[in-house]
Amino acid sequence: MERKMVFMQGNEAVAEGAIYAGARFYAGYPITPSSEIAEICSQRLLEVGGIYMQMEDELASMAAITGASLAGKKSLTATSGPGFSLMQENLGMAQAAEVPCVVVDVQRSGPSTGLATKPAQADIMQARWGRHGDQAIIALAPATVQECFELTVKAFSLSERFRTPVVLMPDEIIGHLRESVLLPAPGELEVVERKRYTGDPKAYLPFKPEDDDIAPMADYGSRYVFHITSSMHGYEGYSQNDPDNAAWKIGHLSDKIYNSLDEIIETREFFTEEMELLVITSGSTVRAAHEAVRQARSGGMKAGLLQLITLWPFADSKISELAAGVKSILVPEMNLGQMVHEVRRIVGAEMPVHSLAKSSGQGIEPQEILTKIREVY
Amino acid sequence: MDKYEIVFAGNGGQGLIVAGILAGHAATRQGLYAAQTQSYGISARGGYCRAEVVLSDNEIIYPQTVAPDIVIALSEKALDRFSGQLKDDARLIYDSDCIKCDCGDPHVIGYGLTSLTQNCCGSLQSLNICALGVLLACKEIVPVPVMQDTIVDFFKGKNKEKNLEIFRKGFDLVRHSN
Repeated sequence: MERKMVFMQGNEAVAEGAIYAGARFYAGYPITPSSEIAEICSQRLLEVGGIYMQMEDELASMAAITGASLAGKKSLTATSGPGFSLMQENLGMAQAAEVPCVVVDVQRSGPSTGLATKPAQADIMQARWGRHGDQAIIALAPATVQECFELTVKAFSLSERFRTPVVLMPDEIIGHLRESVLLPAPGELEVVERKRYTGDPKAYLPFKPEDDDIAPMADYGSRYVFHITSSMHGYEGYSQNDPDNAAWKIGHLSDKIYNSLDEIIETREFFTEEMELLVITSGSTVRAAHEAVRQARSGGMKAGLLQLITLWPFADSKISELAAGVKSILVPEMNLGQMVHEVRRIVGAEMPVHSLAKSSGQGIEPQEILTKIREVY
Repeated sequence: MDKYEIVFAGNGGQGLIVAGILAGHAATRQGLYAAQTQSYGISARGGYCRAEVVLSDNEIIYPQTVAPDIVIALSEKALDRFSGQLKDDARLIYDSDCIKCDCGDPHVIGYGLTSLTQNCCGSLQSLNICALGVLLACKEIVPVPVMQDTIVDFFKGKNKEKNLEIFRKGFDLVRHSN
């Protein structure tokens, strides 16, 4: 059957992508600009045999999706900055307990309740460092409605593969953007299921990694009985203060992600051949930067664009590779400058790295980026 | 169509975003690429609100409007925002029942949309669909039957007929005055 383009909203694509990925549990507390995800899940999940729970707040939402995942269901919640702040504690718990789940943060302008209906990309560092203690997170940022669908599927697959929460962070412009998309057919995108333990229940060690760095999971409520704690624990899941175990476990939570960067990091390049100036950005700003770079090329300037689809872990290798051939770098972002510091860390002090930081609750327009390109070229 | 940019601007609660969504749905149905964005405040009703639609035969890189080809203004503030700001061949249509404009610019044209909608529907709920009829009369972004099918698919019950009627009345108002 020939598939047709459909006209769909970013948030709607996230909800549909979650269902495609096999998510069957949503718990959340609706908040602008993410509310459509809750609204659609409240109808669509029930149609596919799933569960939708409206929670009393975001702390409970995060706790509920963690519990549902431990019981064997792929689960998600969606929120925005104020709710994402409230989720940090239990998100840290899910990281420590190695529970796969997806948290969607449709980024709006802050701080605090800020500008509820206006866009920002100012949660980038919060996604990485919002929890205390050493930990690593995977975060993805879509720039199109098509990517809202595809990256939601990828977020679930990465969370199941690496037994860790994954944050999907469209900005408000992308969450509320409607555009023409061609939805993937069932089976077209890879859908990963978590590794499950099938051996002797008495021999089950819920936190002992196998050769691929990941311990197999069992479902709560099944014949496998095991203990989960947010405190430091060993292979069997009980609290443990042994320093050797702590050193191993803390390292493991990051190593399982940082040892598999090839599987996690995704970037996209536009006009990066024979390039003198590299623009690096993510989310809706990619759309403006793409147009600006296209116009710069027409005007004879050798500008190129790197889209960071995976925000965390940061695409160090790809940035180093592209930076080697350019004279300067420009980082436009809808915040006071967050990503730009990561880029500076990677390319070193010799390379001029310019910031185009905008934090007014408005998107960055192509003309603003083009003007900056002309200024620094 | 290389690229065509539309803005519906007015007050929150007037259904501007729904008008934008319908334009996007109809364009996609017709095989065009469409992108629709919006800007609004925290109130459910009132306050400045804008829906933007970009249409193209090609994949759309930047989804927001840069230089609108047509603006339909349903509040004074909306008219003020765009009046004098538009490119040479752009058209600005406003609701002359509630907005006064003596700018003398031949590209700025007023039509009595509020009275037309009130008389046709008994309320202003369908002012947005009236505006959609005006849009199609100014620029047939899709054939009229495609937009009518889109309206029929989008609305439920008696709202289907009511919206089809005001869509046609908005369309005719512009066509018959030209």
